[in-house]
This record gives sequence, C-alpha cells and structure tokens, in this order.
Amino acid sequence: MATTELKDPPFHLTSHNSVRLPQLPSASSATSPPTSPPAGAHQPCNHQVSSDIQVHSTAKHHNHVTASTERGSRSFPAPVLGPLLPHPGKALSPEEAAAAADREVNGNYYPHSANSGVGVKQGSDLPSKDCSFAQDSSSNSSELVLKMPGHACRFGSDDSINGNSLRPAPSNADDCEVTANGDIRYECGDSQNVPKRYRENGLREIDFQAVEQQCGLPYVVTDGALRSLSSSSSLSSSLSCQKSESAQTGSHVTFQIGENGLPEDKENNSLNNHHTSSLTSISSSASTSSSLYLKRQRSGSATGSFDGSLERIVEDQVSVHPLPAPVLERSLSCSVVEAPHSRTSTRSSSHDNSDSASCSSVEGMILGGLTSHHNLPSNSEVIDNAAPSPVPDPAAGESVPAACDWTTVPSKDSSQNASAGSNKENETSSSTVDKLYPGETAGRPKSLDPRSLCLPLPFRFLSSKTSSSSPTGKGKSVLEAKSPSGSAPGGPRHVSKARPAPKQSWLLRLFESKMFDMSIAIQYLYNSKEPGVQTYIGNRMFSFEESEVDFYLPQLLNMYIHMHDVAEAIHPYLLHRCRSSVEFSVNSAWLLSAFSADTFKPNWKNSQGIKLRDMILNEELRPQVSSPTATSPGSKPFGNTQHSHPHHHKSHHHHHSRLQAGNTGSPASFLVGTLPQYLAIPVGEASKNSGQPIATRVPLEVSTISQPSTPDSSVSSLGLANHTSHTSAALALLSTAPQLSEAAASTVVKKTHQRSRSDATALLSKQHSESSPVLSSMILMGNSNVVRGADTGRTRGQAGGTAVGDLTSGRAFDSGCCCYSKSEAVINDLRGVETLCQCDAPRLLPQQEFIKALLNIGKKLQALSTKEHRTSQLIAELALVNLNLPARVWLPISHSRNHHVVRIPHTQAVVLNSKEKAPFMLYVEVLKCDHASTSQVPHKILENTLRFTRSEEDLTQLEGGGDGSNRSPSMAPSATGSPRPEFSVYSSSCHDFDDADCWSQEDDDIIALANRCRSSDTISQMSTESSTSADSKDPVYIAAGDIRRRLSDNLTAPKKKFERDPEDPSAAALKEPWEDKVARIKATSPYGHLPNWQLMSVIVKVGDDLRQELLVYQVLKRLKTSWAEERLPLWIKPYKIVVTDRDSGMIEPVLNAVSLHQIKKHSKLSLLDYFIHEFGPVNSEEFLTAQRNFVESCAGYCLVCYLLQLKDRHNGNILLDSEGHIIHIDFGFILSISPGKNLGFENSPFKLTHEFVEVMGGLGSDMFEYFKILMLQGFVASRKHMDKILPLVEIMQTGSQLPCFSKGISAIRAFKDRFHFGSTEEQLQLIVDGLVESSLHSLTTKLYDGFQYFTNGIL
Amino acid sequence: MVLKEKVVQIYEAFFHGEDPSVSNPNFWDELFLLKVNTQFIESEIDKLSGESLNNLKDNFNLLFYRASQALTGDNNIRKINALHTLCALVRGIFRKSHGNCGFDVINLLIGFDSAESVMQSLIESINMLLTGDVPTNLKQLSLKFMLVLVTATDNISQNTILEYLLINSVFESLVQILGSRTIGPVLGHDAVLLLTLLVQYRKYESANPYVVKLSILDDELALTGYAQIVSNLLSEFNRDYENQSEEPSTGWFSALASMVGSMFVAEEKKMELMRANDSLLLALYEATHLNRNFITALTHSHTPTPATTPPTSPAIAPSTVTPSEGSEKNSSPTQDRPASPAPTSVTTQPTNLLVTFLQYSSIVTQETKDLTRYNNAKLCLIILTCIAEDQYANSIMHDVNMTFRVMLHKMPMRHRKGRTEVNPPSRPLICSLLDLMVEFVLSHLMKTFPMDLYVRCLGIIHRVLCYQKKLRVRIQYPWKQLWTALISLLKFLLSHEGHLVKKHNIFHLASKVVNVFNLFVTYGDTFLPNPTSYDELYYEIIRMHQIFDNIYSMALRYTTTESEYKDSAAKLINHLVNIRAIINHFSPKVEAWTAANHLSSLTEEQVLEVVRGNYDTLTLKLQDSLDQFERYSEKPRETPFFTNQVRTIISDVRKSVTNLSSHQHDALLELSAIS
Repeated sequence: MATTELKDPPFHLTSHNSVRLPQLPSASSATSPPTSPPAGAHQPCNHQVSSDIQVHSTAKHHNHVTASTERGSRSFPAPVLGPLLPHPGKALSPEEAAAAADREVNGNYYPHSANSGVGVKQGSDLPSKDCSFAQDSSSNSSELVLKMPGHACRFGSDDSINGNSLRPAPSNADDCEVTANGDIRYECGDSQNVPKRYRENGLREIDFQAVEQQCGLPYVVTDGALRSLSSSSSLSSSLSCQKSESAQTGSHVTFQIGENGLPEDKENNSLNNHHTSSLTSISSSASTSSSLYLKRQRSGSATGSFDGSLERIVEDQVSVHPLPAPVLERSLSCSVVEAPHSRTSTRSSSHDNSDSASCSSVEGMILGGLTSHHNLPSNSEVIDNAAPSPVPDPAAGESVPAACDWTTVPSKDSSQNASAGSNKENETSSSTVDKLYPGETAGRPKSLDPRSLCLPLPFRFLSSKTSSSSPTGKGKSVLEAKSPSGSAPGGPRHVSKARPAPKQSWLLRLFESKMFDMSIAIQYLYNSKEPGVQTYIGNRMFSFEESEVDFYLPQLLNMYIHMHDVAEAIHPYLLHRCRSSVEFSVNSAWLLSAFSADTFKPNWKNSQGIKLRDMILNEELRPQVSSPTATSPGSKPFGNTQHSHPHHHKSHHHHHSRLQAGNTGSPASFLVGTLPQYLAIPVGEASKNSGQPIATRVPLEVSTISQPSTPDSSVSSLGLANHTSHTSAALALLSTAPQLSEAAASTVVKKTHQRSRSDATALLSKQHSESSPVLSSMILMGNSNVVRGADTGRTRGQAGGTAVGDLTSGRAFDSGCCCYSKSEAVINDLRGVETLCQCDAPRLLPQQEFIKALLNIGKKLQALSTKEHRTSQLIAELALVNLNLPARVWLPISHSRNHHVVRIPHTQAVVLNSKEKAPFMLYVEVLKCDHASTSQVPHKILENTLRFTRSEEDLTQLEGGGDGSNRSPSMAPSATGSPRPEFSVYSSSCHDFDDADCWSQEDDDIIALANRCRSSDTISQMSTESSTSADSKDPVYIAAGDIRRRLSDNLTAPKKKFERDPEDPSAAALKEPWEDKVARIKATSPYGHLPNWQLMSVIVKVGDDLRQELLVYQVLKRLKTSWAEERLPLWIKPYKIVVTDRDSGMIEPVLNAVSLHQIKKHSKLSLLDYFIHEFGPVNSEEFLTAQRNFVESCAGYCLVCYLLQLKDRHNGNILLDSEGHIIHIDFGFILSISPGKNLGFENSPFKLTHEFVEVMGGLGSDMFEYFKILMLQGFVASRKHMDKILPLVEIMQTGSQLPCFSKGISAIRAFKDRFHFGSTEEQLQLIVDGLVESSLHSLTTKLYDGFQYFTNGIL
Repeated sequence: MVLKEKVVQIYEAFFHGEDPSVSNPNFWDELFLLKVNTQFIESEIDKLSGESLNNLKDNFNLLFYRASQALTGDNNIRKINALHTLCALVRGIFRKSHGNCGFDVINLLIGFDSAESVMQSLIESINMLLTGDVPTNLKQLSLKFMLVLVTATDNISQNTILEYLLINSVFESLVQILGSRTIGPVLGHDAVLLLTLLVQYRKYESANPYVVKLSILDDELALTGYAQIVSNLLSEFNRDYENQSEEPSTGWFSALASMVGSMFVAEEKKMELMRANDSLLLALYEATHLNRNFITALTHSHTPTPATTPPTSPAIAPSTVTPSEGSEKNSSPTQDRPASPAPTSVTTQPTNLLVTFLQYSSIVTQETKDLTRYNNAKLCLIILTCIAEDQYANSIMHDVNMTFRVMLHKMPMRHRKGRTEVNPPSRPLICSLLDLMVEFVLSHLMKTFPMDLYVRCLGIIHRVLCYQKKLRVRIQYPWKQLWTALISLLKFLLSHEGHLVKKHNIFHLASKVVNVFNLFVTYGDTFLPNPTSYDELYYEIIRMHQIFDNIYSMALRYTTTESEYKDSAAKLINHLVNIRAIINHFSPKVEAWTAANHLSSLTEEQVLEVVRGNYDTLTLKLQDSLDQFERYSEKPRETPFFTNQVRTIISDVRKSVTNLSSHQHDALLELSAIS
C-alpha cells in the first residue's frame, strides 16, 4: 500500500511538473499524505541527501518545467511515448520534459560511481563494519521515515529508494540491459523529491531555479550532490561493496553497486523501466563511456602525457578544450547505437527534441546498444580488451574481498577516482585518459564528475548505450563496470540513510543543521581533505543565498586557485553563477586575476584559476538558455556544446589522429554520426521555437549552421534526411582527413536512410529538415567554411560594438547588442518580463571596458606631477567617458547592482591626497532599474538640459519646419503636403523664422528655477525682487550697512564647508555633506528629475594592492555582524572594496567623512574644539550624541586595530564623519607587517591619543569607562565568533603573496592568539585595560605622528 | 598646330554645339574617364557671348546631367572627373552671369524643366559620396564641389540654386562627417564651412532648414566634432602667434631680424591667418548662437592632440570607412591651412574650445585698427556675449573645480611690456574672461575709439555679473582690477569728450560703466568674495571721486543744453545717484577724520577704516533693472555686419576652391593607388 502510494505520487509529480509550475502544489499535496505532511523545505535534521537532492532536484525540475512550458503547445502527448514506455512510464513520461530532466539527472549520476568507488576503497579498509552499517542504515532510514514524517523532502528521497526496494518488481524488471537502471530509478526518486521540494518552497523558488537551470545547473548539481554524498559517507560505498560481493547475478551486482547496496534490485529495475527510457540510456551511456574510456585509456596513455587531474578538470570541465573529444566519442557510440534503431531514435526525438538519440526508450536503447555492438565488432572488441586490462590494477589496489571481474572494473574506476585526490600516479594515468576522452571520464568516479557536469547530457548517455547493450560476457562486465558509475547516484542516498557512523553523523548533522551556513561551509571546504565533504559543500552552496556566498568569493576563489580539490568541488557552482550573472562573472574574473597573479609560473597545480578567468573573459560562460521560449532540456546540451565546440575546432585534427590511431575507423564514423545529431537536433528544435534564440545559445559553428537553416524551417519533413546533413556537417567539422570523413559519411547516410523509413514523427523530422539543405551545403564547403561562418557570426555580433573600448566613439561601452532595444524588449519591459539577449554580443565587455576606462584614467594621472594637473586631466578624461554614457554598465562598488550608469558629473571628481599613486574619487549618476542586464538603457539626455528643452519648444514652434525637414531629407517635393506649408522654401514671407527667438527670455525662468532650488538667505532675494518689480516709481532705499553686513554674515557664518584648496581638492569635496552634494548634482544633472536617479561615489585606485583591504573589509564585516548579533553598540564602518586586479581596484568612499589631518589643517582646531565647533557645546544633545558615536566607533576600531594589528595609523588614515564616528581607512599594513620595514615604529596596540580621550571626556570620565567596557564586550563577542573570522584570514593565507602574510602561518597564529581564547573574562578585562593603558602612553604613537608630519606633512 | 588633348577636342565639340555622344553609346563612360581640363571649360565659357551661351544651353544641360549621372556609378575615377566637370561648369557659367538673375543660370546649367529632378539626384549622389564607403578624397572633392556651388555668387542669398540644397538637405551627411572620428578631422573644416555657408542663405528672410536643423542638433558626437575642428584651427592660429612673439626673446640680433622680418612677412602672415579665420569664427558663432547644446561641446574638456597630425586612427575601423583608407588619412592634405609649426609644450594640459577661444580672442582683440581685425574682434566679442548669456556656459566657467591655464596675450603698450604670462595661474574660466575684458578696456583707450566693441565688452561684464548675482556665485577674483579699468575708461571719456562725443554716444557707454559699479554697490553682498572687497570698492570710488564728479557734471551739461544725447545724459545722471551718494557721504567723513587726526594724507587702510565705520549712516537707492540686460539678438541690429562678413568669407572660399586641379591630380593618383 504504502509502496504504491509512494510510487504514484512521484509520477504524479513529474507529470505535474512537466505541466507547469502552478500545478505543482496540488501535485505535492497528492504526494504528501502517504509519506509525510509537507514541511519546511530544508529539514535541518535530515541527512544531507535530502537537502542535496532537493536542491538539485529542484534544479532539475526547472528543466522539466521549462521544458514543459515550452513544449506545452507542441508537446508530445503520452500516446506517443506510450508505446515506448512499457509501464508506469506512461504515467510518468507524458512529458518528455520530465524524461529529459531525468536523463540529466542520470547523467549526473553516473559520475557517482566514482564516489561509490571512493566508498569502496574506504569500505575495503573497514570491511567488518560494513555490514553493521548497512543494517544501521536501513534501520535508520526506516526510523527516520517513521519518526519524522514531517520532512517531506527527505522522505521523498528515502521513500523512493525504499519503496522501490520493497515494491514487487514490475514486469519490466527482466531486462539485463537495465543494468544501469538502478541509477535511473534513483533518479526517479529524485524527481519525486523534486516535486515535493517544489511544493514546499513555493513558486518563487521554482522560478529561481528555473533561472538557474538555464545555466546548466542541473547537471552539475545532481552530480555533485550525489557524489558528495557517496564520498562523504564512505560507509555507503562499503555497503555497496558488500552487496556486490554477495551479489547473485552479475547484473544484479551491478545494480547493487550502483545503488550502493540496495537489496532490492528488481524494484529498481522496474522503476527504471517506468522511468523514461532516457534514464536508462543515461546509465547505460555511463557504462558505455566507461568502456570506451577504457579503450581510450589505452590509446590515451599511448598518445601522450598530461599534466594531471587538475589539468583535466580545468580543461575538461571548463569545457574549453578537452570536452569535444570525449563528446565526439560518446556521440559516436550513441549514433551507432541509434542508427539501426531508427524507430526508437525517432521516438526519442519526439520525446525530447533536443537529443533524440539520447532519448530513445529503454528498449530501443538496449537494442541499439546491442545492434551497435553487432554492427561494430571492432568497437566491442576494443571495449572488451580494455575492460580486462584495467581490472588487475584496481583489484590490486583495493582489498575488496570477493569482487567479480566485472565488479572489479567499476571498483577500479572508483578506486582510481578516489585515489585521484591523493594518489598522483593513479591520477595521472586516469587523467590522461580523461583528457583524451573527457566524456569517458564521466564513467570514472571522482575526477570525472566535473566533466560530466559540463558535458551535455545526450553525449553522456548516448555513449553508454553501447556498452549497456553489449551481449557478450565481457561486454557485460564492461557494462557492469560502467553501471557502478551509473548507479552511483543511488548509492549516496542509501548511504545517507545508512550512515550511522557516529563520526559521519555529527558532521552530517552539522551540515544539515540550521547552523550550517556559508561561514561554516567555507571552513569545512578549506579544512576538510575529504573530497566527499568538499563536494557536498560545493553542491550545498547552490542552496545558500547568493549574497551570502558572494561574501566569501575571495576565499572561494583563492581556494579555487590554490587547492585543486576544492576547485573541483566548487567549480560547478562557480560556473553556474558565472553563467547566470554577469556581475558575478566580472567579479570572479577580477578576483581570479588578482589572486592568481601571485603564482608566477602557472603549472598544473595552479593554472585552473587563470583558466577559469580566461574562460569567463572569453565569454564562454553564457546563460545557456537564450529565451524563455527556448528553454528546454534540449537547449541545455546546447549550452554545453558551446563549450565543447570551440575546442572541437581546434582539437579535432588532433582528435582525429588519435581516433585513427587508437581505434578502428568505425568509431570515427560514429563520432561523425552522432555529433551532427547532437548539433542539429537542438538546432532544429530551437529554430522551431524561434529562429533567433539558437544563435544565442549555440556557440560558434552551431549558431552559424542554425542561422542559415532557420529560413527553411517552414519546409516540412524530408524525413530524417536532415540527419544526413547534420552528420555531414559534423563531418565537415570534424574531418580534415578525407578518408575518415568519407567513411563516416557513408555510415551516416545509411543510418539516415533507415531512420527516414522508420516511423518518423513528423515534428522532429520537420525541424531537422529545415536545417538540412543549408547544412549539407555547408558540409560541401567544408570545415573552413564553417569556421569562417562562425567568425562572421561573431563579428556580426560585435558589428554594432565595433567601437567598444574606444572612448571617442561615443559607444565604448556598447556591446552592440540590440536585443533590449527592440520593440519586443520594450514590450517585455512594460510587462515586467525580462528580456534575454539573443545575440552574440559580449556580455561582459561593456562593464570591463567601463572599469578599464576608469582605471586608465588613474594610470594617466600617475604620470602627472601636480594636483592641479591631475585634477584637470581627470575632469577632461571623465568628460570623455561621459560621452559614452549612458550605457549598460554599473558601478561595482554599489551594493545593489541593478542600475545603469548614466552620467559622471565630471567636474565634481576630485583627486585624493597621495603622492605617487593618484587615487581619485568620482561621483556617478545612476538610474535604478529592475535588472541591469536586461532593462532598457536610458536614453541620452544632453548636458545642457534647460536649453535642450527649449530647443524642443523651438521645434514645436516651427513644427512644420523643424519637424518636417528633419524627417524628410527632401523636403520640398513633398513639402507641398507638409502640415505647415509656410515652411516650404519659397514661402519666405509667411513664416518668418526669427532665430533671435532662440535666445528668448526663457532663461530667466530657468534662473528663477535655479533660485528656488537654493534656499539661501532671503534678504537679498527680497532685494532682487524689489529691483525687478520696481516699476513703482517710489524709490526703494537700502542701507549700505545692511549690504555689507549681509556680506560679512554670509561669509563668517559657521561654514560646514572647507574652503577649496587646490593642493587638497578632496577636502572640500569630502566635507560637503552628502545630501547637499546629491541635491546639488541632482539639480544640475539632466537626469536629476528622474525618480530612479541616484548618486553614487567611488574611489578608483590604481597602483595599490587592494587585496588586503578586501580581506580587512571582510573581517570588519564579520566583526560587525558578530557585534550586532551580540547587540553591542560598537561601531565600525566596513567599506566595500572591489579588487579589479593585483594593483588596482575601487573603494567605497566613506560618506561625510574627512580625515583628522584635513580637520586639523582646515579648521586649525583641536579635536575636541572641532567637536564643539561642529556639534555644539559640550552639554548639548548633538555633542553628546557625537561623543557617544565617537566612543563607540573608537572602541570598535581599537579592537580592530589590535586584532588585525593595523599599522600606519597616522591622522591621514583616520576619518571623522559628520556624526562623530571615527573610521580607520587604509589597511595596507596589517597582521605581521608595519611601515618602516617592520621596525616597530608603532608598537602600541592601537592608536589612542590623548586627544581622543579628551573628546571622550578625559581619563576616568564616564565615557572613557564606557569605552573600556565596550572594548571588553567587543572583545568577548569577537572571541565568541572567532571561528567565523579566522577562516577568512586563514584561507586567504593559502598560497598568498600578500605582504601581510609575509611571515607565513605565524601571522595567522599570532592573529589567533590575539583573541586570547584561553583567558577568562576577568583576565580579558585586565588585558583590555593593559592595552588601553599602553596605547595611551605609547611614545611611538606620538613619534609616528611626528614622523608623518615631517615626512608627509600630515598633521 | 598644337596637339590637343582628346578631352579638349571633345569639349570643343561641345562648344560648337555638337553632341559627340550621339554616335557613341559609351561616350559618356569614356569621357569621364578622361582627365578633366577645367581651365579649358571655364575659359571657353568665358569667351562665349550671351547669345551663344544660350545656344549652347542644351549641351550644358546635357553635360551637367551626364556628369551628375556619373556620380551614381561605381567607378571612382569617373566620379572625380564628373565632379570636376561640374565644378567647372558651375564656376564658368556663374561667372558669366554676374548680376543676372539666378534663374537664368539654372536654366543655362540644368534646364528649368529638369532642374528639380537633376538636382535632387545630384544631391542624393553627393550625400551618398559623403556618407558612403568611398575614399576620403572623393568625399573631400564632393565637399569642394558643394563649396563651389554655394559660393557661386557674391551674395549667397541670391544664389537661387541653393534652393535645391534646401529641398534636398545635405545636413545629415555633414553631421555624420563631423561626428566621425576618422574623417572628421580631415574633412571637418570643409564640412563646417559648408554648413556655415548654407546657414547663411536667406537666413533673415525665410526659414532656412539648415538654421533650424543646426539649432536643434543634439548629436553630442557631431557637436563635439564641430567644436574640435574649430578648436584645432583656432589653436593653430594661437600657436603661430606664440611662435612669432617668442622669437624676439632669443637675442638682440634675432630680435632685430625678426622685427624686420615681421614687418614684411609675419604681419602679412598674420593677416592672412586672420582672414582665414573669419569663416571659422562665423562657424563658431553660428553654432554658439543657434545651438543650445553646443555650449556643452564648447566646454567639453579634452586633451589636445597635436594639431598637425590628425588624431590617430582607432584600432577598429569605423563602419563608414574602408580599411584601405588608412593610407590616405595620413597623407591627406589639409589644403589651404598652412602647416603649423611644432606645438608648444604647455598644450599637453587638458583644454577646451572655450579656453582656446579666449586665447584667440586675446590676440584678435589686441589691435582693431584694421577693418578685418576690427570685424574679427567684433565677432569674438559677439560670441563671448552669447556665451556669457548662457546659463550652462556660465556654470562651467564658474566651476571652481574646472580650472584652466589660459594664456591671455597682452598687447605691448607704452607703459608696459605686455606680452604673455608664461605660466598663468590655473583658475576658473570666468577669471580669464574677466581678465580679457579688463585687458580690452585698458588697451583700447585710443583715438580711434572702438565704441561698439567697448559696449559689447561692458555687456559681457554685465552679463557675467548678473549671473553671479542671481546664482550667488562668489569667485575669487581681484575685482579691483576691473574697477580701476572701468574708472580709467571713464577718465578717458572725460578727457576726450570733445572728440568722442562727435562720433559716439559716450553717455550710453558711461551709463554702462556706472551700472556695473551700481551692481557692485547694491548687490555686492551676493557675489563679492569677502567684506573687504566691498570696502575696497568704496575706497576706489572715494579715491577717484573726482572722475565721477566730472562725469556727473559733464552729463549735467548735456542735459541742460539741447543735444541729441540729452536723454542719455539724463539717464547717466540718474545712474550716478548711488555713486554720488557714496562720495558725498564718505568724502566729508574722510576729510573730517583726516583733520581730526592731523594727517595730510591717509593710507588706504585708514580710509577703509573710515569707510567701515560709516556704512550705517549711508542709504542707497535701489535702482531699477540693474540686473537686466537686453538679450543679444542678431536681427536686425547685426544683420549688415553679418551680411558683410559672409560676403568676404564667400569670396575667400571661392578663391580657395578655384584651383582644384592640383587636388585633382593627387586624388587621381591616390585613387589609382588604392584601386
């Protein structure tokens, strides 16, 4: 009963999902009752599995959803699929979308085998425990189910697993081919989970996910999650091992392995069966891939050496180069499989337009696999050969007791992967293989994962088919070998259940607890060497708030650069984020280059950072789905293709040779066959949806191919003939070697023929056919043509943006994308719908150019000697930049990105005080918008607003003239019909255009307006009025004395301003209250009247390393949060830092603050007097408030200074804001370094001068005591939160060349020591008192101030 | 018998009334491949009598038509030859018909029946050439042809063929050229010139679409390009001047040599330069006067490029220009502009057109004896008036953050060395403007009193003060300079009363001066930088009280006697009320104080003390409309001036475009090199 129920809901859900979002809730309700009432999405108490799955599954879901939405109209109804799917599959699979999603899941899963492999290894270490664990796990899971019905998600996953196991085997369980199905089944479980999660989280989340999905998240996610799970819990793997040992039949064994020791193989199978064929195919593909991989391994090893796993990861995963090769390979295998079974393939295609081959039903798949083997004995042979050879190694390496031959194969894989982290040798070998056939890597455990993530699904499972279907015993073994990999996904879950081990559990509990946030995650990511944990976290990051993760971006990227295991774990996440967000991409690229700069010689150990950066900068990470309509599973593979393709081009020769060398000709032909499919199908589909989206999605060649094809879309089917063309196109792409291509072509042709005969589902074929003619022609033209086409495509994309980077063009920040200015986009805008860019225009370029322009100014300023020169140069340069605004660029320093920069009030920019570096501060006018990357860029409004409006009046005034002549270049011929005939040329008499009119008195109104803005003293205003309205003859008299008095009053009135000093232009600019400045600029700005207008400011610094500043910013931010959590009034002001490179960046200016030096210089008062001057007498409320602010901020910063050992604390580096807070800036000297060659000029813990104490009210005053109390409280609080602060610094120390870490790890240790973790509060109090005391009486502070005065003139 | 060029033979056939094309279908294609002999055409036309001219009408029409048709083809050589043919025809026939009605010419040239369509297609072709993807040379030649067309008559407004240019606008093409980064610098001058001239066509009588379009042009790039072109040419002039004036400092001998040299050469050169700049100034004027957005471009800071070389072409080829054009760009001659000497060092600092223009003005306004110079100076002052009236320009000029070093050149005078401050302080532009005005006031107190210029100068000062008063801008400026200068002006008026009053209404001028003082006196609190400056103002007035007294009595004289200036004099008296009140109030006080302290004379400080102590007892009369000024308006007052200016410019331009054949050769060479 329970089982059935369990079983059903998932299907329901899936179907619902496929149907659409809104329906989900109902589906969920249906699902929930049996298992559990819906509960919070993330249950802290549940195992990670659930959470992971949720996340991922949701992601998947999106696919479904989107797909379904897309295809809704076109949808292939259940009937079509019906025949294909033996079972419940019908219910399940009405939507190909769902299937697709599942498939994807599967694809992700097989990497799991890697994890399982890891598990196995570990398991082998602890064989005795395994049994108990298994038991525990099972009991555990059941208990959980019973006890915690509330957690829908978890249950979902559990249920799916358990339920399946319990269920009687469905009719279809029979197939041996289903070997890999275990995985599939799991996936079903996932899909089930998905809906639930869905439900719980509500629509919003779904949407979010949908967005994510575009970025190809699903693959990554699932994969990683599963992997992480499995790896993290070694137990689970061990379990699986056990089972494998006890396995009854070879096939069963495989299943078990895949499932990680689930006893109920049959159910699994059945599940698999009902699940879409795609699932199967996936799993099988995994196996195939592995087999192939084996093959390749050999060849690969023969071919050449490779750097190592890192390399592999980077390249493959990153998808730049390595991918294509594997892809091809896989696709080859797939194609082979499919070829015979035209019917299946077609169906599958109907299933999912995108990847027809992949979609083929289980049966078809199997058959295909079989056939393929038959057809291509050579291939199978290869596989066979390959399979045995690896066996020995793993077997030797592992102590798995009773491993069968086939089992060993998988285990070997796993072991390899497991060892990948630690074992370099193994790695290398595997990596080589991987590199050669990245696709294959999917079959492999750990190292494979990343790649598999990147790979388009279709590839993956396509390849697997072959192996899965292999009839021979050896083939079986191969399959099994694969199957573990495929089945791995299932394993993790079980593991999670079964993970009773105490050690695991606490970690798990921690990870699943509410406490687990990004700060803990980052800590474990750094500290844990366990790949499982890392992967888990890597996946878990998908569930964190983006902003939360972003905060740790420097840490993440630093780890990415320097720790390749972490890099692997977080790579998917980074990729995903880069795809989804331009901002993230830009930031990441900056940080990567900033932190990678330290490594002088890039090698395999640290090159991944650079590679990722290059990938980002080369715009390889674009959103994978171009438009909402285009969103579909099909599009995903596409996105991936993008990456793989470029590589294609470059590598294919290479690849070819390898193929020829390593394999028989047949694989090549496969390759050829599949590739086109994979290319063409999505194209066709996309083109069906709308011609253009393809271009966006599809990278180079693909896009070029697809574009020409679109026009033909109306042409109905040539059957599947298109395939031929595709193939041939592929050929063109692939084959430089004529022979190969020929061979391939022949095969292809044959295949297509078959297909066309088969029950062609018209739709797909039609779509295909559209592109075919063009494609074929392209084939003829050959490779070069395609390439060229690609180039032109790119240039076209940039055609509009030819001027990018050229400031004099006025379009320097224009990417040339006009997608957002089209009418469609406008409509979308009005409807609040996001428009997606559909052209190939660079996404990041405008922003990069904008920042580059600003930084270049900084560089130019450095060359100038005087402030005056710098200022005028700055203004001139900014005016030039201004010409190019508004543009789709934003100020990275701002906290919310959604704005467009419209203008830089260039005359307001100031050069800051610095001798050799020339930092400058500028103000930036922005217009807020809904979404910076999609909203319309505001139109240019000319500077001279007032006059401009007047010009328009002119226009209306002369309408016929101005207007008419404007519109029609040839005015006269048509002028007779123009609305204002008098404007025709010959009618000089009737309308006398009086150009003097252009200079009417209107300006007086303008002045009046301007006057209204400034509400200064009204006395003279009165006189103005009286003078102007003095038509009355009685004379008005004024006293000369009054005039003079007003003058002197005006000037002696307490000024809130500093006089402008050409030697220190920033002082006056900074002193002006921000509100005043905003109002002033707003009044003069042509955009000022717009409601979404905002003023921002930024300091641009070139030549300074801001990475330390960034670190301090993070620490301060963290401290601030900690203190806020403890409700302490300590005040600090972390100001945002954007590091754009090692020696440049931007700083968020502290508003309304001037340095103590400037105060002293301009006011010539002591600090206390200045307080009195600014805030009023000592007893006034304002003063007291300011004083309190001062004390609180002082306490905060004293702590900071002490903890971080901030040095170089002269008065130029200490600001005082308009509320009395002090703010420390310039964190160039922290931790272990200080100015003056670390001689210890400033040896006091912090800067606390008598002047400060004076403001506090003097020694012993209440406020001073309050200060000390605050210090203590702050200290205690910071100590409490130490573990959130330390990792920030610690991680950045890794591989860092930052000067503050010049003393290496000891800097960290000293930092840690300063928290005095062991001291009691009483002791702490003493310590604080001591610190205050010694700071107060520090001689060096005074000395340092004096030193600064004499050397730099800083008061 | 001299061997004749083939083309000449063909021409002769034409002038004999034959139509050589009748038998040869490819005739026209071939003809335009031959090098045009423009001189022959023009001289042949010159030789023709009115009668025979009319007889040849059909042939002219045919030639014109065919030439304009040739422009639509794709052979660049044909296009060039066709353009030259057109130039020759236009020049020749217009020269013939001086004084005649323009329509006659149109009939002769194109034929009334087809004129409209032919001109339309011709201008369309020209537009294609200007905006299309053709060699810069060809673009340049098309511009030259347009200039030939525009300058065909002395009085541009009588050039009825321009009506077709109004109908078929080339404005957009010109704007595109101005906005272009690559061809702008090369063709900009001609484009600006053409635009300026087109704007002049019947601008006082009918609505000229070019006027309208220029006034509403809001393409920032084009405007900036426009400004840049003007700026480059002006700064070239400035550089020349600087180089000239630098020479004497090198040594006694060279000083002598250069003095001798400059007597003959440099002076000549200067004049030439100035005339060449007439058109440029007019262009600047039209843009400033007509287009509100141009002020932005006027004040757009940029780092000057060495003017001799056109701006380095950006790495990316612009859409309008073919890559092959890169070669031309460098070699392209900037025709009638003399190659300027190496730029001086100071210019690396960012500058803007306004800065350049102020420097230019300081040179041009130095001497006004010559009529050309006078007109130049006048135009400068008019432009400055326009600028001083503009809010935005004022706000830029007053921006303390926008400081510039403006090299204002001073004329050497009897009592001073003059010359230029080598390293002027970096100040807001308004200070430089005021300095310039002060300098002008001081340096033109001479017998040939440029009354008109003085009035304009004071108008500028007045406008600036009004802005400051209204927006309460306090600039750090040594106002005392201005006061002293103004008082010396009054003094000059007084001392040359007899001479000046015959020619000018000196009371009007004096009123203006006094009103500037009145502004300070009554509204000083709103724009003076500090109380001390207000005291100093009083000090100056008291110190020079005699001049004010005398002015007052002079005005009084004219009001009592019947004269044409009676009203003006009366007004002046009225305006002097406050000044006199101050004098009457303080003089006794000062004297009393002197007496009380037994001093023979007082130091400034002492007087200031007296002044400070006695403000409260002084009452001033608030005068009407002190801060009002009559807006500048070109029509009707300035019309004759501008008509005259245009006339000179037209004749200048016509001269510059008469000899295009040398260009023709170059162009053909280049074309062949390209193709």
